[in-house]
Amino acid sequence: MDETTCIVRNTWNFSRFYHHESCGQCSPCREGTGWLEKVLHRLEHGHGSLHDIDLLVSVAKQIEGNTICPLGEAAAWPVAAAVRHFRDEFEWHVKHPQEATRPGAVYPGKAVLA
Amino acid sequence: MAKITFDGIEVEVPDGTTILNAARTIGGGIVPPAMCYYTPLKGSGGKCRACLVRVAAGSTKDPRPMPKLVASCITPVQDGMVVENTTSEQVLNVRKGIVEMLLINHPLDCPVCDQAGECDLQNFAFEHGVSTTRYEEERRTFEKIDIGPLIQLHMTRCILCYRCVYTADQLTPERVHGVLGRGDASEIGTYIENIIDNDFSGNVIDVCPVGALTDKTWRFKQRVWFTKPVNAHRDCPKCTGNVVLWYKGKDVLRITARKNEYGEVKEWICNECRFEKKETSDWTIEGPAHIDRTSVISANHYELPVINPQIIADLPESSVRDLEQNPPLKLGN
Ligand code: SF4
Ligand code: SF4
Ligand code: FES
Repeated sequence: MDETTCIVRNTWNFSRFYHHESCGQCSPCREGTGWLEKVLHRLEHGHGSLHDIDLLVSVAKQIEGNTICPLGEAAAWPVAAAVRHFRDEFEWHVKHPQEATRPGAVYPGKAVLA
Repeated sequence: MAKITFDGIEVEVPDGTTILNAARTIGGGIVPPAMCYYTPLKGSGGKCRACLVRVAAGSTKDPRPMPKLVASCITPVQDGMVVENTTSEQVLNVRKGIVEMLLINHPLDCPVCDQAGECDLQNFAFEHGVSTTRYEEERRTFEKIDIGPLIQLHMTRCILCYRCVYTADQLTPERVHGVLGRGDASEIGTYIENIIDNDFSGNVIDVCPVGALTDKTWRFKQRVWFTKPVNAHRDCPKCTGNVVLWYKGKDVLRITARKNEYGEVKEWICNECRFEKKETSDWTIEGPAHIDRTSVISANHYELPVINPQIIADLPESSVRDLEQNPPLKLGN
């Protein structure tokens, strides 16, 4: 992972993992991890809206702290943190879906950081 | 004994009581909702997170607040504990979130669901949820499965409270009913669609808070609010024989166990009483059954939950006045 890694794709990958790992006993984690994954899938594939970005934060907050075990937090925190630190990249996916979904696409904002 | 303060009301309960049961001794609108906890079933609770409350002070010895909200149905009280339920904005918001989570994959087919009118999820969503959804994806669905000739499982409606699993485990000698899979792909199943075949299997219908497990002899016969519940008993060699008959006109459409005000079965009944004795002549009638909940069954006689009069008598005058002005609560009869 370096500065060319797509944050949205990476976060989606995280939540895909936690969705798969959730044991399904408690409702916030069972339903929430799947929800996060679906919304991130949408964003990554260029079908998201700006509204979805706030939805992610809100769903992550609904999971965090309310589950039986820490898997809920583990699923929620990377998503909330990614949006907190890389919101511009999420917005780029929404506003420029064609560019962002091109294979090997790199968020242009990153070049400035490097 | 441990003395705790729940939403500003002091109550003394035996050590080891859970916060939820302490709240239930107070009664009324301050009792946290419970979607998975079921008093008669050992080990139930802790799953749905509907009953989360904030512990503002852990105990007299260690009065720090607990860092996270706790599930009141499985957390025992400590002497000097201070708990906030309806008085905490955070708890109420989290509960809205729980309703949303339970509903995102729920079909909400109440108009064709046999549970409608006595559904814990309807009540929970109505009392604690918001009326909109933010979920746009396709909902999870399953095929309907017959579990034997008398019970049907409609997994799409299941909220995975695990009550039926505990019932099958604790009431029947050979358990064939459990949870398969994990995460949001978990489903209640009877390995290779086995028939649950024993005398008490019908009780899974009563414990199910939603319309996931339904009585096949009753499916689509009538809406519950058009039927009249009547208490009756018979001499049954297998169970206590205390039941509720649900009448429409002269016909007994359905038979269930008696439930308390929190929807918990008082005495388990056997399948013979439940499925086979649908004639008035099989029963000794006791009189109309009282439906304790704020259910549509009690059409036009809605009852607000009432605080235990004993608790009120012990409260200082000023807090009683406060409580009276606090909408979800009603004092006395
Ligand atoms: S289980 Fe309850 S909420 Fe779900 S469809 Fe049936 S009545 Fe409606
Ligand atoms: S089938 Fe009913 S009782 Fe069983 S886990 Fe699902 S909702 Fe609970
Ligand atoms: S009733 Fe306490 S977690 Fe479900």
